[in-house]
Amino acid sequence: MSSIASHGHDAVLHNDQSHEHLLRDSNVRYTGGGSLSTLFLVMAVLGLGATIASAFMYTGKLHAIASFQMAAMGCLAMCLGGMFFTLVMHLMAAGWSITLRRQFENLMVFAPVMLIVASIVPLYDLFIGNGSLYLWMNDKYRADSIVLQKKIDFLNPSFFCVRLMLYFFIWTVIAWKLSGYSRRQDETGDKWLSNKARFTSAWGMLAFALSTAFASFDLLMSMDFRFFSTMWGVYYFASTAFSGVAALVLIIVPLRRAGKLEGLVTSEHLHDVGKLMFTFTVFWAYIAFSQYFLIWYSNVPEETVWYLVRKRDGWQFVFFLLAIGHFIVPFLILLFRGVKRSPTALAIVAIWMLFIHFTDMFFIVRPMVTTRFAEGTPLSPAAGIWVDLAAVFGMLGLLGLLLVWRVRSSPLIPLRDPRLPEAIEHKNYV
Amino acid sequence: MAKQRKVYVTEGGEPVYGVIAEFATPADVYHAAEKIRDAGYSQWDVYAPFPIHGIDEAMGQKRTKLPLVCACVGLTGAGLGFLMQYWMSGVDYQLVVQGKPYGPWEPFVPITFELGILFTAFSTLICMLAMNGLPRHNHPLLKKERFLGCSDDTLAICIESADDKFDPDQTRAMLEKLGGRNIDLVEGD
Amino acid sequence: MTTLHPDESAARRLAGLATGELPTYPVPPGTGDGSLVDDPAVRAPLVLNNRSFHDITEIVCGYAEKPPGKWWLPLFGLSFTIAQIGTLFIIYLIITGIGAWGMNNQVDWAWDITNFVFWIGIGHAGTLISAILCLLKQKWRTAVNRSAEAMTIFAVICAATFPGIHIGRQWMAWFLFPIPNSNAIWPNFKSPLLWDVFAVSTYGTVSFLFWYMGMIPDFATLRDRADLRLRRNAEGPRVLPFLALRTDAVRAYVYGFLALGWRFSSRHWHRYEVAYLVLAGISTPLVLSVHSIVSFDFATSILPGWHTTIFPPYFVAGAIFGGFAMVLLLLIPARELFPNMKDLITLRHIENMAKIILATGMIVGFAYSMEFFIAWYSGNEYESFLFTHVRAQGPYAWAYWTMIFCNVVTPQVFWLKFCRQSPMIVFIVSIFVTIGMWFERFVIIVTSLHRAFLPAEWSMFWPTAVDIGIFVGSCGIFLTLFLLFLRFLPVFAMAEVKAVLPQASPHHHPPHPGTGGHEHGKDGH
Repeated sequence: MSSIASHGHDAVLHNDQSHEHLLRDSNVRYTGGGSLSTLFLVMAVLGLGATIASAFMYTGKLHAIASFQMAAMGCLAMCLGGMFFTLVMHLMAAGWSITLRRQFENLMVFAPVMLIVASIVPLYDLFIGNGSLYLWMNDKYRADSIVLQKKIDFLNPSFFCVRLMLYFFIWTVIAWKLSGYSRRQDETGDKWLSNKARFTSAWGMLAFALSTAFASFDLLMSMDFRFFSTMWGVYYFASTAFSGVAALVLIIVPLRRAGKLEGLVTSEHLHDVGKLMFTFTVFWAYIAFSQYFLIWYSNVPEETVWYLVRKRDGWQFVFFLLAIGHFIVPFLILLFRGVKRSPTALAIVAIWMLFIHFTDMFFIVRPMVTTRFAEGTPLSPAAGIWVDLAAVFGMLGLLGLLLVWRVRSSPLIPLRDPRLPEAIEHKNYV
Repeated sequence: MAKQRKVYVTEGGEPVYGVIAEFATPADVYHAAEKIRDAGYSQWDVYAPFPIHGIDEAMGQKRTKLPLVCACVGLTGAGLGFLMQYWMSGVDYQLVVQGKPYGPWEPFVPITFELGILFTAFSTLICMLAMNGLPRHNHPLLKKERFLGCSDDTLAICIESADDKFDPDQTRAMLEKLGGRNIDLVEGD
Repeated sequence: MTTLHPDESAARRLAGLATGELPTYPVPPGTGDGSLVDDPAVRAPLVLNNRSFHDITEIVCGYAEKPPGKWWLPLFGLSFTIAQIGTLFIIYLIITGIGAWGMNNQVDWAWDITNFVFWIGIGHAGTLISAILCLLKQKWRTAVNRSAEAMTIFAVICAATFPGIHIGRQWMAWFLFPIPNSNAIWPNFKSPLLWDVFAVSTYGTVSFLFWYMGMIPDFATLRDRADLRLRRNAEGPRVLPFLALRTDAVRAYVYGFLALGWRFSSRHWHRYEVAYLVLAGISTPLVLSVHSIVSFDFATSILPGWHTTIFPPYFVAGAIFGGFAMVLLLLIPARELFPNMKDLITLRHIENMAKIILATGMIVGFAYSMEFFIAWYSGNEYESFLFTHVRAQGPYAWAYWTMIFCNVVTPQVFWLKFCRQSPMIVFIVSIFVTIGMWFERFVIIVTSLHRAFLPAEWSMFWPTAVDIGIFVGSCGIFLTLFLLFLRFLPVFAMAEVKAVLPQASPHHHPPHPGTGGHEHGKDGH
């Protein structure tokens, strides 16, 4: 193969000796994080504890489970975002991002875990709660609603459970295979594992697209069984990529602060991560606007009702907060090159992006909590907002705890990926 | 307050534009550029048939402000686009269509966006040309036959006589030391 | 023949130490033409046969300077004739009125809009290759971006023809724009058709600017070559035997005018590259927006099969899908017909595009299944009637299943490596995809219209001779323009191809002594 390497192009990859010092243990292994784990544990216990406790307080049970579900779906999106980027990097044989991939893999492996967390509420609703949040599980609607009768082949308990298991299976296989290849390569240095990962990603991407779309139908869209949108899967996918890249920044930047990844994740990489944040800000806006706009314009009752309840009773402020905060603010800030190249600035933008990402989930889920059960006007967004905040904090604590454990368990980058030199030498020339 | 600048003339009475030297490889021209930058020259340029990666750094060239101008023009275009639509449909010629309000923001988004893009695109091309001092079809360098090789495979550095540090002999000697070949004077201004 | 290491000989020729014939090198087994490298530790070469900068200039400028092969003139004559016939049909249509399309019901304008969406869709691959692949740092784009951009512009020209002539009173076309008029009225900005006007004209303009800006350095190369030839030999060939006008003088003047005095200054290159990046950055959302707006034409209505929220991204994916198929349809024959083009468009390029076709084909398939699923899930009886009774088994079921077969089934062969790597198979699949994408628009438009809400509206669509003539004519216009492009303009972005050659890197070290220098500009030490 050496003859190809020699007449090939400048990115011919040879293990440059000068990179060895970057791969020393103190630079690519994270061993601290004890106090961070404690912090996350406290967050998780307090946050989720408060959410559960709120079920027995004035805010009520429905509010508690809606908040819990909102937070779980937000965290699931982050993990699926990690999966998406891992898949896409393998598919495109990306070189520059090799040093970032391990953190996406770390996010990815918790997708099945977060799916279990996100399945608690629907399963509770299905077997105990009698469809309080997922209205199609409610006996009253199953008996009375003509619309629901037409969907009963899809929205029925047994098929629903089968689908949840199927998503769990698909995401577990993808995460297990890709993360396994990557870690095995650390040990064996077998470059051909990259090609296996690439092949897995080809069918994995297809499986990921279908499973994510249907999971978003099952776990979010079916809460209001009247509503339907062919865009819904893409909408949730846009959120996964948006929050996944923000989560990556919030893993990478603290690691750099802790003195890790020196020379491996430089401002050049952050610059490109910033571009990804920008891209998916715009992509989310494009998808969200297209969905809203087509429904607004056509004004077909069974679709419009979904937005109708979200544009009044205080929810219009959340609507405009999303338009501004989920698009205009990150868009304008990320236009600046300096922001994309500064770790601190990027981390601040990432925190904002996660905040607004959970606001998006809040906007989708929380209006299902109505003043009168299932039929009245939605509870105003400010009412009992502490429950929502507690749920998000708790869920982020839980995910953070898992991530710290996972980040500690392996090198911070794929140590022996054949394209690693390309990533280390990565530079934005223009 | 303009600083007095020496004007160099050839024996034939032609003003001197600068001294040009050719280099063999991108690496050579890159290292030569670093040295010339460090020697404190400012009015000089590297000529290459393609953009050499990182040469702007080696030449000490500051990053252009072009994107800032484009962003401002683009946002202006988008703003004007929105105002135009709002005024025409919502104020000046109100039509009841499809039961929609006169001036909602939603249907104005597509054209607002398109006009923002259109303004940005024009400003990008025009700014790029204006900042480069183009179009300029007549240039002393283009009269040199060897220089025309720069559009094929020649790499060259030209230090202009407009530079304060320019000195025909010293500059020439420096270029020679840096590995320049076919060193020559460029006439004209 | 030389036995030197390929890099070394390239460096030697670059350094002026060696001239003459091109060295050949052994192609490693199992890599096709040498570009199909499986090894993940090796990036496939983008230009084969160890070409130097000068070789690239010679090859690419040769296409514009030397007389083309024997095939060019007959093919040009044929496509030009077809284009003229199409033009005659358009003139007939303008004189007669759009009744010539058989417009006595609401289905019969389908052909025109189908063609519009078909062509505008094809136009999207060019900007995709130039802009999105540029942002994604996919260096292989340099081999195909110029011709794909050219194709974009020609496809947009074809596309713009259709709405231009379908307005009925073509001399009132200025009414499409907000021009102050004595009636004191303005266009309806709430109408998707008006958004189309802005979207398509913006797209055409920006694509043209992008294309032109990319060509400025290459025009300068052509200018300088003509200039040099004139300086060295003033008695070059004449434009016409009896005319005292040198061909090279015309070239130096015309290319020189278009080159705007570009002189390959690195200070210029810096701004040029930043500007190029800005244009790439804005063209990417532009591509998405244009086809999204085209999809709004349908999706903002309430007609079953048209009103569905996934239309914008689905149309965009379909456009990229069809556009790449068209790029392949044009470039696979071109690389056979032009000398040395196989060194620049390698099997790897074709494989990459085949993969994009597979990926976008899957996205399109995803959208088809989402539409079908949600039509059922919505519980809306009109929607489900349309999909189950009209599209899948109605009178146009053959069109629907043609579309599914061409767009979803045939690209699946690209899962097999040898199919992606065989230009012949890729070419055949591209034909299928092009047909399938035409039928996609036909299915969307006709099936929804011919079974609209009122049974009184129900009727079948039959194209007239004028319909067919104009469509075939538009293919002729497209091909004519593309052939002219191949003949007179720089078909490859020479500067960009040179920039991705290994020897273009200032950190490239040819393995022979005497070059000197040490590592510079390394990041992160």
